[in-house]
Amino acid sequence: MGAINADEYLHLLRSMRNFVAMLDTDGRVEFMNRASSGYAEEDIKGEFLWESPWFNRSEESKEEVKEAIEKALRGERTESEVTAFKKDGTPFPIIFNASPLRDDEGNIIGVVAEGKSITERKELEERLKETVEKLKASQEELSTPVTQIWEGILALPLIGVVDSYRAQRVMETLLNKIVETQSELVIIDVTGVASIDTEVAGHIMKTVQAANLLGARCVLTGIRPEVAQTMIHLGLDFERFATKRDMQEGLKFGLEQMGYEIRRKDSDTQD
Amino acid sequence: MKSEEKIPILRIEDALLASIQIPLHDKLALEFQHDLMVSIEKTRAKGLIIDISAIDVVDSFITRILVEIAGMASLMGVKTVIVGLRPEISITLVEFGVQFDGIETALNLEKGLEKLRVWKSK
Amino acid sequence: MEIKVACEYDIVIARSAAKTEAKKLGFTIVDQTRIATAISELARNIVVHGSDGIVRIEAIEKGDCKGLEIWAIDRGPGIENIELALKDGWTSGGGLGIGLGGAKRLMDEFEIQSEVGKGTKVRVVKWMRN
Repeated sequence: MGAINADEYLHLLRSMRNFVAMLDTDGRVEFMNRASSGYAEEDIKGEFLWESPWFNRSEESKEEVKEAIEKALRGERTESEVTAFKKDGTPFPIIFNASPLRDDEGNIIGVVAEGKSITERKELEERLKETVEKLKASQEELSTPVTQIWEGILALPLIGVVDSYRAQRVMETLLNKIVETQSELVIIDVTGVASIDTEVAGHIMKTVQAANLLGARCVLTGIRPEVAQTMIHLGLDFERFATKRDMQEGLKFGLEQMGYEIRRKDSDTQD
Repeated sequence: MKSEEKIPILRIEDALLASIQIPLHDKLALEFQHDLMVSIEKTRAKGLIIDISAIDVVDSFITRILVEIAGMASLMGVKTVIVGLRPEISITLVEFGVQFDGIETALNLEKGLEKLRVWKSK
Repeated sequence: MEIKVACEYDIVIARSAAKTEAKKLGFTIVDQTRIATAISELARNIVVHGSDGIVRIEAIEKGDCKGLEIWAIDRGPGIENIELALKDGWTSGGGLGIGLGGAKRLMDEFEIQSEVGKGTKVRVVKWMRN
């Protein structure tokens, strides 16, 4: 197998998938392997790379490319994400590399500029981000269940360890649901909460106050002894919410507040 | 100089309804308060409903204006109900430390009118 | 981004800009509202004391965390007693008196420098929760 000749080098370069250009020590394009994105070689050759139509549509892109090339001329290799533009004006993201081009003695005689389109990669990144967001949202919904148990009545059973972050999310979910369903009564059941710290108690109070501001009332049910102690020690304002023994009592209270009367059907029979 | 914009005040049953759709700066706020009190007197309204569903930021100034309106109306024998408070604003107000003293709130216009009816019958 | 604050209308402009930047960064609607409300107070503080100043909004990073940093700078009369100004209920500008203290509660970081006769500088930051 013989040595590769100049023609073959040229074919190699021109067949490369990514864009590659050789710039002189001023940053002007001396050679480029392919014209792409709709441009012809005449559009680009001889121009400063940052002034070329790929980049000159955006000040930001121009600056970034210019800076990268200046760094390369000082001997530094750089890699950055830049927005390039097709001939029709559509922007697309690329990874832009600039490296010093050296002769055999090591002197810098120009710059090698490479560009790789990452549109596909970016799209995948976006989709991945969206999927993660959706997963997070559904995970949160599962762990902060606010259910409408009657027209105008929401129930929120708090279960397990409630930390500050979760308490915050629960609060936001609940308040949004109150407005969404236009519910005037919220039953917050804390039977499943063994103990709360002052921070979480603070969040619950904040939630109750915010709900009141919206025009809804809160009923706290299932307060365990330890939770009761924490709340008393905190000196919370008990006028802001009603308390009932359990969810059942809470529901009964709520319905009565809304003007309902609960009777058994067979109690209609005369004695 | 009177500002060009005005906040419209409507009549519903024996109450007044005003919906704040534009940013309430100083001059406009004062005019709004004035217009409300004049309307209350003219119409002999018993209740006042202020819809703030279009307001996305409630700072100390807006709060003061609303508290003042409720106070003025109360002096004239009229109860005020605020409707349409956005959930994110309710959280912010609580954290901010604002007290909506003397102001009732309701989830929507219908419930607001209901509150006024209940208050009237007491 | 820098916004000149001299009159009331500028307060709305400043807080809308802050809200938009927060939204762009990916803050939740609640955080956007907290930020906008805090900025509204800071901008109002500038206007109410009859001076003019600027509100500067910038996205910042600390390691992996993204945040929004906002400066409110004026060359107004300055605050004589900062501690008092931060206490609720105290007001010199006809507000409810909870402006500065409230702004502090809504944000994650709060710094204030003020010199009587020279002016006031307030810096607030809100970090994004992951």
